[in-house]
Amino acid sequence: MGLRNALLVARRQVGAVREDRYVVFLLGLVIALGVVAVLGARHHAASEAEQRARYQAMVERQWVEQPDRHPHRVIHYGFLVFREEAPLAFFDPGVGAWAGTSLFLEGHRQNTANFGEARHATGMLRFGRLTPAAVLSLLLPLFVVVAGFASVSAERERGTLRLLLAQGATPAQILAGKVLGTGAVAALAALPVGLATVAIAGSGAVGPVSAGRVAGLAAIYGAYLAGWVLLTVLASSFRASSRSALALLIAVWVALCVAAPRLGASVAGALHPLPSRAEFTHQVELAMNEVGDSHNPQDPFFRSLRDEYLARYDVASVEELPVNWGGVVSREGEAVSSRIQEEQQRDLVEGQRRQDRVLSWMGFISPYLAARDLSMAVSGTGPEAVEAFRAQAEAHRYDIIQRLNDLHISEIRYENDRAQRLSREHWAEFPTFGTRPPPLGGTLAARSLSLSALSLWILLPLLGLGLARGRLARVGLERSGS
Amino acid sequence: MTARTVIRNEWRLLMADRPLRIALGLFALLLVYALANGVVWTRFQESTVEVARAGNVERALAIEQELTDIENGAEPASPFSDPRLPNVLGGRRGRHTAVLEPGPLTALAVGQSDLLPYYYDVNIYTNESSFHQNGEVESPLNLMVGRFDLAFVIVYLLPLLVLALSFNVLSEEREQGTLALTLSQPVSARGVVAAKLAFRALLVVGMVLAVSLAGILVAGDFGAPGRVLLWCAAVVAYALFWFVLAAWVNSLRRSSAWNATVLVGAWLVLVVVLPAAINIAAGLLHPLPSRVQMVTAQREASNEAVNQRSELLARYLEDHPEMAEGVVADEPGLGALAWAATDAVNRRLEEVTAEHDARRAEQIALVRRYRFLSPALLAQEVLIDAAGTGDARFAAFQSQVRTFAERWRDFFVPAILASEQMDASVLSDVPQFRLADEASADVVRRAGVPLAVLIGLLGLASAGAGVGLGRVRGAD
Repeated sequence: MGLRNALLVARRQVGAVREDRYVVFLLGLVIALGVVAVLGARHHAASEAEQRARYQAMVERQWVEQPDRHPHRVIHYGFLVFREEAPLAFFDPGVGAWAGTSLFLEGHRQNTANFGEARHATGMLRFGRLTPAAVLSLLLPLFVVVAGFASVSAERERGTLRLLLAQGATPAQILAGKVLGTGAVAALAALPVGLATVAIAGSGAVGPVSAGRVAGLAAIYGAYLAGWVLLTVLASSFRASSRSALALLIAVWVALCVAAPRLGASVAGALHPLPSRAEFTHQVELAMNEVGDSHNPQDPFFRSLRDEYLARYDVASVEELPVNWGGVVSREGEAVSSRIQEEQQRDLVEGQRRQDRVLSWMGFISPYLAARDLSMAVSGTGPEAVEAFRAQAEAHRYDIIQRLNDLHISEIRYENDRAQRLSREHWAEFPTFGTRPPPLGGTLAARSLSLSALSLWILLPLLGLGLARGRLARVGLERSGS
Repeated sequence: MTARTVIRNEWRLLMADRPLRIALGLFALLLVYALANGVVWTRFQESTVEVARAGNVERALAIEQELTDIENGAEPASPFSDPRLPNVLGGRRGRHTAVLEPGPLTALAVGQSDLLPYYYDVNIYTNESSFHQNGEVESPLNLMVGRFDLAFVIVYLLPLLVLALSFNVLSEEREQGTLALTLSQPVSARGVVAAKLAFRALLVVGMVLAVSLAGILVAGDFGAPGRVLLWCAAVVAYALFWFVLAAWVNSLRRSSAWNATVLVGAWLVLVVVLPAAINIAAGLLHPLPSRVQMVTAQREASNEAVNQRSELLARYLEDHPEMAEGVVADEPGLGALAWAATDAVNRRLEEVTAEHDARRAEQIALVRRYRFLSPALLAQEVLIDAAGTGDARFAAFQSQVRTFAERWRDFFVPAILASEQMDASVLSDVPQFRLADEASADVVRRAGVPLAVLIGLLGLASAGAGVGLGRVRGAD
């Protein structure tokens, strides 16, 4: 009986929306924008991915086709890797355009990834791009507001609310019906984007997408939009007029979706300032100078290393060592310098993570931030994906450089070192680079703040509706009495 | 009924409306916060620039000291960083940091200055790939979101305040039944709406300009009156555009609720949806040339060059006979050989980059045409250009650094080729970077185009509103 009443009210609400030509027009607009966004983003992502794969293959071929070379020469020759976008980047590109896409790996130093897309576009990119994620997280809430702001207040204004109550529908059933009805309209608006995304992800055209990630996205946006539906019906039920409900909801939307992200970023930057690039490079240089220079054999660090080796092999000079001393210096120098640079880099990333954490806390104020955070995490396009690329590229770099140094130590004689060459067959034995995206479980586990913020976003309006239930009849009476 | 009566009346009405009062107060707070944010950013940039300059002086002093010591018989601290070697003095050790001072009004609009580099280390190895270094070590998330600066408050939030103040400027009078009464006086609907909106515009624009000027006082300089004027003109034109749009919608004689919905819809389309859609459409219709391709091409170029060192030296000396003095062609010094390879790499890089840049410039010119569709994009462009944080100023800086790097090379390379050593006497002649910052007149000329279009849009909306209001009668 209760369910039937709620469903009847829901049908009533859907019917009211269908009659409103303005809302129907907006529905069409939102759906069209969503579908255009999905198709556009898919095209963009596919062409980028295709190019990246082509050039990565080319770089790998160049590596294998090197002639006979001295291993230290190869250390300086280096290797270029490209950041692969996650398959779901077409849905939510996250920070992709704002982070570097290519990284040059060479001996002695950690380069930073550069060539971020935003650097090469114009300032217009600051307005954001119409991505499927943006349609769902920015535009759909506004559509929900327009479709639902009058759901309860219009019934009250027309006096039909009292009729509904008189016919035996309880306030809870009416509110549930309004939520269901508005929710159904919202779902209808979101469905095409969702289906197109699932179809593209399922077709495998953008790479393998796990069903878990797609389900995760569905859950995030489902919860986010459900919160908006609940809030809209709540505002409609406790505001005296439809007009003031609409004004309130639009103000809330502007505050949460437009102002809060920028405010959050600036608060994060103020609480945890990062060093300037010049300062950072200077820090790294200072730290490096403390250990010494592997190219300088007179350096105290390397002198003590030499004494240790001479003692270990019980010989009088480095020429008599059974291993190539030049290679040993290079290997140990690389180990030390990599450790220092990695430490500095970790500090920097830690600073950025602290900023990101402030934004996660801001998620409690703005569900838009929480949903965006989770959406990037599930799509694999968040800051941690960029950091994973950097860390993996660094690990790959270190591995390759030390393999080359080991070859230098074992295959090249110390005498007349630089005149010798290593056979080209060795180059094919080196591993190739592939980005491994951070696992979904780990990224979500690190986002408990955003997860709880999103849960609160549903729970609080739900609680509010529970309280408004008691007032619903009274507000109606007060109004008709006035 | 005179304009003064209208205005006095309006002030009382406005102050009686609590939500509006709150909105105005909140807006003022946001303006001040945004300005504070911009000032912090300017100070950060200024201190970074200061540190870079001090670094230049420090390095020069240390080198001078060591060179004097060597002249007096001391040994160089390390044979690998002997400052007498031109590839050390002109290399990483003796590098010169070229800096771009923050734009005169950076505190008002951060613009692209958090994304694009404002300092480059220049040495003889500086080449096209040096220009690909990133800007600050900023978290990509913060870059994506952008800063909460005055330009953001003006472009995004100001229109909403304007609309909240004026969506019912005429419709409310009609709904309360006072319109007929008002229009029975010897005033036109046009005059009433103009007076009401002029008062509101004065209030809003006055607030924004006051905060802007305060910002310039605190963290900028009035030395660039052209820029300040440009900024003020953009603020006024953009704010008026939204006021006039509201007047136009009011002249359509619909209900206040309808006006509000349509105006918020217009804001959504012009400020949020259209720019975002333009960005995605531009990417599809005019894709920028592949960056990956360029990086790979650069890489290939350097490989080729390194593989053919000795041929390259011969060719280099043929191309630069003035450099050949002192180089024994049969037995080139190691430094000369290395330099020949470096030079060849640079030339190839320049070719590859020039081709990429030319294509990119073409595409960007196409993309930028679309900005005429949205007043928000136009306003943003004028504002950041006036502030000195637009793309153009950074591009000019980069090209000056490029020229400077050439001068730097020309200074040191002959000595490298001749395997000569340098001494303290050359230090005073080492090139120094001096920025020739764009003149206010250039900025005005460049930003004049979008500003003119913005004013054109304003005129269009005014004409519409004027015609519409002319049709309003008291009996409506």
